[in-house]
Amino acid sequence: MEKEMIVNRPDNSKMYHPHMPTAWWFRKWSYFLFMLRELTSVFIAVFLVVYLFQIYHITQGADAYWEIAGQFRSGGWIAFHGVALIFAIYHSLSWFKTAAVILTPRVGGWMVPPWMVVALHIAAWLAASAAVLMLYVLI
Amino acid sequence: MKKPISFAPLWWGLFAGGGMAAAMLVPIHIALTGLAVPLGWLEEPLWLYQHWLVKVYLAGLISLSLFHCAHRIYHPLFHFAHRVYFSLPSFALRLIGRPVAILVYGGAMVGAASAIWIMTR
Repeated sequence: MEKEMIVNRPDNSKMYHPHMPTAWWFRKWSYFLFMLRELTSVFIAVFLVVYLFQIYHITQGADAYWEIAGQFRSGGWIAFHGVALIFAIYHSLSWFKTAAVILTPRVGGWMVPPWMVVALHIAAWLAASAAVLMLYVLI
Repeated sequence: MKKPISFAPLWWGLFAGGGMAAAMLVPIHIALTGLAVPLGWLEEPLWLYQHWLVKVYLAGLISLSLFHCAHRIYHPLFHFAHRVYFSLPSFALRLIGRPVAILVYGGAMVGAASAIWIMTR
């Protein structure tokens, strides 16, 4: 019996599923925001691949980098990175909000309130961002 | 009885680690390399990329974030195709789901391997 339960998964098509329209995530603002949050990963993934492409050329030498650096000054790439930045910030804020639900730290008998968990994450985020910025500004 | 091995915790672990790494560090990198440098506000510190610590940091950040993205691209696909997904029998779902998973997570693996290769050359 136990073996059957593990090995034979229930047939998905025979289970009850509410009928939802294809564009169900347009119905409610919260559904739309959920899908938008998932979409942030596409922009982040594209940025990471582009960044990796740049890093590859940097490791090949300064000349190799300057050869490809020019194309990222085009309006299209600037617009893409502008949108990607907005999406990435949205990902960060939604991630910290989720972290406050999952992480419930206790100090002695006192439970740290969720708003404080979010605030601590934002503080760490700003500190990490400032540290990376310093590398560009000071060095 | 031997339980079937599930790799789900591994993917979820990479998702969580990558999510935190991406949340903390990706926005500033987009702002700097994607906007501030091309717009001429700042210069890319090229020599910094030769430092081993920076290489380890970037390889870790890019690899983890790619796994996070793979997870977030793979799962919502079934929300997008909700109607099709629940109208199919389970064998058909496995038939479709597996190549998509291999494509998405395989892409992240190739990306992570490339990042490690570039940084260790």
